[in-house]
Amino acid sequence: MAKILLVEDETALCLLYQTELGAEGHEVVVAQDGKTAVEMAARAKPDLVIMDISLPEKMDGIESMSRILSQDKSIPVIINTGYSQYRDNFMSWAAEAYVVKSADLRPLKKAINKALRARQRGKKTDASSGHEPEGA
Amino acid sequence: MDHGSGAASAQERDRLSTIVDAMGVGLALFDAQAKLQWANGTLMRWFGLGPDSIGRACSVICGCEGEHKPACALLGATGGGGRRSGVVERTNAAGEWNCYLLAAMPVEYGDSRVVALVMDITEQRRQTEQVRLISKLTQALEGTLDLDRVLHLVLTCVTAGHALGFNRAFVFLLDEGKQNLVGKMAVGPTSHEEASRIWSELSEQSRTLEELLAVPGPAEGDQALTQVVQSLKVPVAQAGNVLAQTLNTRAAIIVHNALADQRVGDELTAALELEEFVCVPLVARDELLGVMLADHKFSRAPIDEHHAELLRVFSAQASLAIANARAYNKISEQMEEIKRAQHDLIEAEQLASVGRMAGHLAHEIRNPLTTIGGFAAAIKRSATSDELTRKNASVIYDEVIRLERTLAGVLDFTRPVRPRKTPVDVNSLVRRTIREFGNVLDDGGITLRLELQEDLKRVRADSGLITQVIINLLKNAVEALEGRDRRQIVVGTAASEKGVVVTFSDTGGGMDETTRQMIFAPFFTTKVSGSGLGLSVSQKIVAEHGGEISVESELGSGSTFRVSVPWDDSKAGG
Repeated sequence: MAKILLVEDETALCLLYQTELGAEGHEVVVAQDGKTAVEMAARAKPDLVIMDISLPEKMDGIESMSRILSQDKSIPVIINTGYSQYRDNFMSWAAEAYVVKSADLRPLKKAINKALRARQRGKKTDASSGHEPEGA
Repeated sequence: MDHGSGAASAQERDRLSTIVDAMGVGLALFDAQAKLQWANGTLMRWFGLGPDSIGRACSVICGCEGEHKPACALLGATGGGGRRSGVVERTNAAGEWNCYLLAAMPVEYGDSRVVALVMDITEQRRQTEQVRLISKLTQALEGTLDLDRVLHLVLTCVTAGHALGFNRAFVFLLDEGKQNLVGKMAVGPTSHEEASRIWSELSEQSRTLEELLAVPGPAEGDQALTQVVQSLKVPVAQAGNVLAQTLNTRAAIIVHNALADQRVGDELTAALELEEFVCVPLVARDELLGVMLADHKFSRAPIDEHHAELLRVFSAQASLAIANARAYNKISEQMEEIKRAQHDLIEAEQLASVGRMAGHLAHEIRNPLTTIGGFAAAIKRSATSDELTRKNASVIYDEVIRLERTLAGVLDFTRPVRPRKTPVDVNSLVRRTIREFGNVLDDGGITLRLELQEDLKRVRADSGLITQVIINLLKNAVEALEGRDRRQIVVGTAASEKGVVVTFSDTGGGMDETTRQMIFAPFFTTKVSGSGLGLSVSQKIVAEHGGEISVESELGSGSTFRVSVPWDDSKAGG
């Protein structure tokens, strides 16, 4: 259905997400560091970016995200990270959603669908309403 | 009295005696063995001599015994020793101290061999003592910063020794709020018997001022009096009261008859059994510190302006020392507070770095967990016809989710909680959460009963965070029921004035008082595994909502946790 740029350095997780998201009909391309992500975003023009925060080399996910957005403001970026403490951090606000990595992929999938729907409708959603409270 | 050479010399002597008496000087004659032959009226009065004193050794006057004998002026003058003089101190039966200068000269007058001239130098000596006293006190106070010790030294100087020689002295200090004069310390005997005993001890031992000042603290008798004075409190605002007046006018006041004087309150008079006393202010560097009272209760010597003035001058010195001690105490207290604050800061810093470490650790763990659980879910989904594989994969997935939840629990503690509050229906939140928790309860053979008050108005809360609190308390209840025969949890909701109160009661083993008081502390846990953070996180969340969490417990029966969440009084609420 959509072209998703996955930015994730852990190979096993790349495999997992490619399988799962591929099963939903999405085309998943992968970048394993921040710099490559920026380049691929420019080249492949994905419909959505899933961004990890901790990445190798000098550029982390937050910086990579801001560079991608400065190239193209309209691309929705979903932060998918093992850190829970940056959720309220102002740097994360540029993202559509902040998902904490979990074996339960439903929150991630939900966020993806929401962002894609909004993109179709022609506007981006706000990161704060993309926040899913736990247990609700 | 028929020594000497006949009526003529007796007459001569009497005339001389009359002259000498008029001069206010004492005169006495001694024989070759230094035995008293004759003393004039003045001397007899001073030393309490009578007809039976004649023929006695010179010690009836000079008081020399034992080790003093070699220094005795009278003995020295006897046997051709030449002119000698010495000082004699004497405390009479009424406790009055006097000091005499004794000049002994060899003479040949009939069979008298020594004539002694005695002059009363009590006043001069007293004044010298006063100067010595001030200087000794200054020395003793140097480096004394303990307020109690300072007060004791001051009061000792006022009552002991002969410089000021009051019988009793009391100190009242202004309290923190500067509203009341509060009794602090007292020195003095509590009865006549005690007073007499002390005087005879004093005159026997003739302790020097140094020795008196070296005594570390109040004597037993003083403690009784101190206790009495410590129960007294006089408001400064009571302008008519003598203590307040002294303080406010910064002048000494003598009260001659406490019972009749309006300025002395009945309570004060009765408690201290005051009769005639003097009250002086304690002022240092323009700061009012308190007042000091002194009296001659037992010796009953009259108090005059002179005494008052002496005491006032002395108290100026004392006030400086008291002010210093006070300032020192205050500084000490502030240092203690700073130390405490510093300690708290260090603890907070340590906790923060633990938090940071926990954050990174959790991140490191999450990635592999996501992989393991994610693939287990994938296996489960693809093994459509393999029941065993599905089940196995399910187990892996569930355990991973459990680990994720533990991690979330650790991190939420270290992350500042910022709730996003909306109107929330507590009952539906409870029901929904319990539904999700259902299989845990069933597997454990636990019965859950709901006692929810219907039609509760909405509260103002972050539903995600309150759900977390509910989960934490349910988990806690489930853990408490482990190994119990009766396994029941009752969850109730009820309206209170301020909001909704949610209760979680279990039939677990309960906890003792010590545990109960510590149960909300971070990292406190009685369980073998468990971070000990669930309840402290819950407390934090509830506090952020302006609510309260508490627990009652009975060892052996179970515990009940109570959580209150305030009503929603925003316009958007129900």
